[in-house]
Amino acid sequence: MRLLVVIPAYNEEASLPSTVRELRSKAPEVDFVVVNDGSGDRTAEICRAEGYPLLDLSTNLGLTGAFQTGVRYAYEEGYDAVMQLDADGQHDPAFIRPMLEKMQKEGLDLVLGSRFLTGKRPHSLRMVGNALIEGAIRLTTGKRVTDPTCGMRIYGRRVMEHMAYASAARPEPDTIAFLIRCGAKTGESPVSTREREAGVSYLSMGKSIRYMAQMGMNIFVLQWVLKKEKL
Amino acid sequence: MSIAVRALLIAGSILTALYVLRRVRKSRMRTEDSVFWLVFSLILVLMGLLPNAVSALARLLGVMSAANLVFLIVIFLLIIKLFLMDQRISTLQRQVTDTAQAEAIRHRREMENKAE
Repeated sequence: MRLLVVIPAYNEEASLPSTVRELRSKAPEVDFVVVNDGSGDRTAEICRAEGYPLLDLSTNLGLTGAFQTGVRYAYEEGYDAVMQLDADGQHDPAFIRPMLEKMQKEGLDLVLGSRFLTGKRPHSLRMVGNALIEGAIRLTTGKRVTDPTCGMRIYGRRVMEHMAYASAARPEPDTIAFLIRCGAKTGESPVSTREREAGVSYLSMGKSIRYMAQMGMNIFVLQWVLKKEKL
Repeated sequence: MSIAVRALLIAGSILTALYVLRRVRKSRMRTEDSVFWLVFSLILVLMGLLPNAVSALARLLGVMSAANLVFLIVIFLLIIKLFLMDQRISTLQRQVTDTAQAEAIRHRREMENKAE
């Protein structure tokens, strides 16, 4: 099974080399591509100097647009699966292999990394949001997704076309709920992530509220007007 | 409606129309985009020239004064324009995203071919 790991990078010159080094040592068998999201720093130069496969966006599209570029490339190049790996080192590539094995063994379309499959989730405001989204997905799809906001997910060939071209497709829980409702077979695989930052600042508080409002709106309302995909 | 409001409506609409026509002539505005503004200024002129019709319509609709109805009509037209512009921005955003993505992928393929 050919997997392409997509590393969206926006001004990540500091952490990108160590992320790639770790990926190469822990999962040497997978291909990867860095998507430079119109960075203003030396991200693209580093990629060229180090010989990293690079998709160089001429303008900043944001995480959704950057990741989608990688998915589109993977889809057009005939990869069987595609996954997002954060450039800042939050995601541990050691979990790629077990996730991929799960996908193959169980014939899944979507493997979702989860930090809470084993053990309790910590008590924080962020986790309240996580639980709310989990509830929303359960209500609308009947499926239990224990960690809907975790970015470590493997998308299989059957859902790649939607992820690559649909303007509503984003690597976010609302799209996951949509794909489940379209009949995507999903499973969860335990992962652990390293936090880049601790605490909740005022700004991220406002952002979280916006994020939650958007997710609620999308999962409960806007998803139902989207045409279902035939996977 | 007072003479002052009528004069404002007529003057404002004529200036708008002239400005739009000048931009079209200099190819600064596409003709299809100018249609909205020309119709818009036509409606303003008509309201300035036919205050009795506006008053009658206001009474018919139960709007307190003719000037209020003028506001209502203008706001209504502007909301339509806002909505159309929002749609246009969405389309443009999708097109820019698509173009940037296609360009990045094409560039990558060229590099791969060179490497081979």
